[in-house]
Amino acid sequence: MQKRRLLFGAVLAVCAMTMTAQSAWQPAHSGIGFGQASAKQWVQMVSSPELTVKAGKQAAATQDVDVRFAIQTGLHINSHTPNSHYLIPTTITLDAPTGVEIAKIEYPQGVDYHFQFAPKDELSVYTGEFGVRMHVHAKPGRYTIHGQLRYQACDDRACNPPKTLPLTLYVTAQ
Amino acid sequence: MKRSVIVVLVLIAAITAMIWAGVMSYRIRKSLNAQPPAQTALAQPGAGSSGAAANGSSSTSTAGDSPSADGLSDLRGKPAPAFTLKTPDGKTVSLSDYKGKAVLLNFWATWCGPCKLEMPWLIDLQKKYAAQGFTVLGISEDDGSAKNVADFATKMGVNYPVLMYDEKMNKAYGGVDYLPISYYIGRDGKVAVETGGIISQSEMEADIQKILASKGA
Repeated sequence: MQKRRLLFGAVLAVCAMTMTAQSAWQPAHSGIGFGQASAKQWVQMVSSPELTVKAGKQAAATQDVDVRFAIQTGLHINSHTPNSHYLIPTTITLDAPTGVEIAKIEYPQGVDYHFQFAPKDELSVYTGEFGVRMHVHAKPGRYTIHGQLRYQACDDRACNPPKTLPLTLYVTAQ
Repeated sequence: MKRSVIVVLVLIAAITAMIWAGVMSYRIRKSLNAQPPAQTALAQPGAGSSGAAANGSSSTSTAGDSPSADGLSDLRGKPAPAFTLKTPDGKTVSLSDYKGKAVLLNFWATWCGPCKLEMPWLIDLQKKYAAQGFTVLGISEDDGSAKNVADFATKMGVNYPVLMYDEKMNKAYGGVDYLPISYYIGRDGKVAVETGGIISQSEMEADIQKILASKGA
């Protein structure tokens, strides 16, 4: 019995190592299921959609609110200011209801990136997590803001089509 | 005693597997690093890049191999789905116009970095093999204006037909869920090789030579 367990363990170890080696030469998108790519998102909002701001009298007070996003490991997306006008910038659009105003949206600077086989072709991208700062004016109340994040993701060997991530933010101004 | 022997054997097997995995990983990374700097090719559209390292990519599949390229529907060995598409300036082009020729169908978009890096290689290969009955057909997956696509192709010095995609064709070719994707179609009209993601110029050239060597139907 003991021998069998050990042999089984050995087989498992070899299988695991084989899979590790295989994964070394597969593009980052492999295994994600590109057959269902149309519904798949490569970026998710990771901060709370519940935002609390200090209400202003009329529209005098402005408050900064940060919203954070995470990009799937192994992928990058263009920053808000990519280095070529052919590239699709990361952009947020929000439809604010009466009583709340998104005065300005500040995007982070992109980080320099180049494809492994094109070291001189610098791109401006986001990887990992990034945050977007919004300047919010609001009168007292609770508001639901709908919007979207548009982005386009690539790994080192291939690119996914542009995507739109629906956003819903709940702003409480008090 | 016997138990300790088994433990040692298990350890040896595990260590051997780890070393093998490491060697495989190193070889592949080395091969990727050995690919030519695409920026050089971009800076000299049409310039030859012969001598470029040719190394394996997991996303290349030739007829008879298994499985198919990453995330692609397996069309290898099957007749290439027929299509009729428009060029950016409105002319109509069908796959059947190239009957008896070797065709590289390259799905790309203006917003796709790896596709842009492949373009100078495709231009080279078109120039080199067109006289032997070969053509690249670039299928743009752009949703924007056809003029934008035409301007991009002109700027890149593209010397092969560029066509605007339609959903019917995308569906016939398995959905085209990422870019670049290439299908190498032999003179017999059958898909011989399919690749997903960028591959090296020399890999492309080897695949083109395969389809040029194929016999017509």
